[in-house]
Amino acid sequence: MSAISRARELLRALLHRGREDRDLAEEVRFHIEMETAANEQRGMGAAEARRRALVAFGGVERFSEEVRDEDPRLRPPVIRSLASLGAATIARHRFTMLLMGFFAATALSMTAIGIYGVIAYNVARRKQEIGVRMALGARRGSVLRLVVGQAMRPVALGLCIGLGAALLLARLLRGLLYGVGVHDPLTFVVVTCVLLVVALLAAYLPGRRATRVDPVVALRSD
Amino acid sequence: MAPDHSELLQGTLEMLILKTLSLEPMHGWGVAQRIQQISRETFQVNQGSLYPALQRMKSRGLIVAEWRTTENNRRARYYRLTAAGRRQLEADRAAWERSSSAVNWILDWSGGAA
Repeated sequence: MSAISRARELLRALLHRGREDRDLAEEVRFHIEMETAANEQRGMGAAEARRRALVAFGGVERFSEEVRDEDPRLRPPVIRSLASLGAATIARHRFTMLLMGFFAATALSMTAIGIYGVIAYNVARRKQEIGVRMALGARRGSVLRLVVGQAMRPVALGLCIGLGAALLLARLLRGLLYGVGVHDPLTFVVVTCVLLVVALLAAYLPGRRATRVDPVVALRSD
Repeated sequence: MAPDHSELLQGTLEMLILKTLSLEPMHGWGVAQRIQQISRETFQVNQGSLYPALQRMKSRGLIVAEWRTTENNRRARYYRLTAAGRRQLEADRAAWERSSSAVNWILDWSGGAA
């Protein structure tokens, strides 16, 4: 319901309530007078007759409240702020999205850690080979380029498979998305970049450490 | 005044009001008087439940209220049965007869198979 029609409804209820209250007051007055007259006919004095009638009726205030409670139109509508109404409506969705976001963040960081671990391990394992290349006169830059380049090949393959699967499976999320397309380009680009940067760091850091090692030490160790 | 008044059974007040109003339109006080008289003073109608009941029935469309003048030239709110109210009375009456005869069967039961 819009704010305007809510306001109109409230106004209508209040006006209606005013009229209904007047009607009720007159009805109660009529009842008590009739009861008083009947009591007088039974032989009571005027004051006693009226007092009895009032007592029989009970508290008029309490009574008219009870009557009002019976008619839903006379009850003032519950007033809530639009913000709290909105919050209550989307609370469940919001919680689902929070959970989804948490899972997604966990998945992304686990992926990053996994890629870093695998690549760093592979590059570190080639320390001896790097030592040999350096001993034979290879330059640092070219060795690093070689190591990083080779490490990135499975990463590129993985990214291709992952992006393809994401494009195919994202439609399952359609029901949860609002205001964002299923194939939101920004999301795809950002996630790809994050994974690429992680992979590059994972290859570059151990690779650089390997090129700094004295070739003789590298050759001696197995 | 009769020596013993009975509490109205829960849920029967509306049926008795419908019955009273089915004879002729009446104001609240008249309804209370009529029920008291016809029940030979067995039932005292409590105003605290009479008017809420009337209001409830009005909002359910069983009766309508209109201001009229009494024989003594007083303004009073008269209640009149609607077609829906008449149907409700028939339904209430059927339900009442069913359950009261069931209660009587049980009270009259003196052992053995019914």
